[in-house]
Amino acid sequence: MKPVFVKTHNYHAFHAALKSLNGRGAEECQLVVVDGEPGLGKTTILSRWASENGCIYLRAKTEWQSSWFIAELLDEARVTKPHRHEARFKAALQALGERALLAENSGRQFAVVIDEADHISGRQKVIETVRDLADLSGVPFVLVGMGKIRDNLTRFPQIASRVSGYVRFSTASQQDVEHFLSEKCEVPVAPCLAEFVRRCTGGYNREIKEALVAIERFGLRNAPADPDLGLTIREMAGQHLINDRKSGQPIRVPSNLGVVA
Amino acid sequence: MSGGAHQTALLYHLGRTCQTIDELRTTLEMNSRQISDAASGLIQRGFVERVEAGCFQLTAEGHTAVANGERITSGPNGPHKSQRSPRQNTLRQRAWSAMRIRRRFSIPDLITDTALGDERGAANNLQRYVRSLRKAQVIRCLPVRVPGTAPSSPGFPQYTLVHDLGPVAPTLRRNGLVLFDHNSGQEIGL
Repeated sequence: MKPVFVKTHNYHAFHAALKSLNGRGAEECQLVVVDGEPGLGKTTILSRWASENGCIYLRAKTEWQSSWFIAELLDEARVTKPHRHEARFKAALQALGERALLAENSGRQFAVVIDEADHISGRQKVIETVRDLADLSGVPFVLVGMGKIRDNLTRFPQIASRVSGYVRFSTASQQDVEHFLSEKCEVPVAPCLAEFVRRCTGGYNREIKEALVAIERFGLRNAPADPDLGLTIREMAGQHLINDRKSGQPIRVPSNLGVVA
Repeated sequence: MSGGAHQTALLYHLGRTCQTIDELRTTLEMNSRQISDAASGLIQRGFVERVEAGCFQLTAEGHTAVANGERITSGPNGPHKSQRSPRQNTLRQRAWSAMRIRRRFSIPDLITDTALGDERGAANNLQRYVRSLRKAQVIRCLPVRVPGTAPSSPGFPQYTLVHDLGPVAPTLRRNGLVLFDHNSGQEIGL
């Protein structure tokens, strides 16, 4: 598997949401919510984006409280933690402002990414602290989770109204799968096999990567008959591709076009 | 001649007896200002002393310097004591951020997360960096390797972050003999 990052439609949707922050109508809309089922590449895309732009990346914990959150934020910003909560909040605001200024000068976009934000989306105190920091510092906060965030935020209309963009990560399209396979796979893959991969993986990135490994392992030992066309479904007939996400049963490449489980 | 060269010329010309600026001007190809400036520099270094106004002679340190064949240069005049700030947004800094986010990773994972495409030898660079981090016991190699797909591939080692040193990536110093942690300001021997 080639170690390259592939920009799927989810990546572009995330970027569009961040761009929309710059053209927002209300100044206080500084929250972006990213959600989707596990295995759609949220963490991969966010970690890549955060490390590329020098953003602050925090992973929410089950027992996170407001003070713990600010302490972690200060640690990440390399600021000595004052004793009192009020002073910590001020220090966090200053640190965020300085980091945003630094990013602006170097032409990068700065934000605070909070992964696994489902843990905090139902906690009013923590979410209000996020809102205060976002409002007062002008730094965008990206909340990443698995689908509960949107529902939980509806309980806090003052927060929900500040969300400038919701990005729901969806399963890969046929075009995404073909692009993914052509960029990452060391063996050329024919469109018929790519279509089968999309169908049996349901478009989940995690499963597509699993299928890619199986295709590559087979293709490097049995070169495709037509290198221009790539490895076809007929050539891989009977080979184990992935395990089904729900049942755990192995899915093999069929000799006809039906899925053999 | 530069300032350092003037000082060197004066250092080797002065002897144990006191010489005035006028005497020096006749024997050295320097004007009064240049002699005065060179003498001030040598006095600061402790090689020359002023016996009276406009009259200079070598000190004991000056004689030792002449005996050692020392050449005066414009600098450096001592070791650099200030700490160099780490560079932002390098491949290794991005890789370190990716390690902190992922916690468990392989080299191909790091390349996927960090390489922008214009780096030369990104894989080798990260390989060396990861090896140093492992030596410093900042990361640990897991017993299970990620299987490779090529027929003869032994797979890829997997690592896990043991000590999260902080947001700034540790850098190698002294030809890779020590790892410097910019977050705590401490060196870790390899």
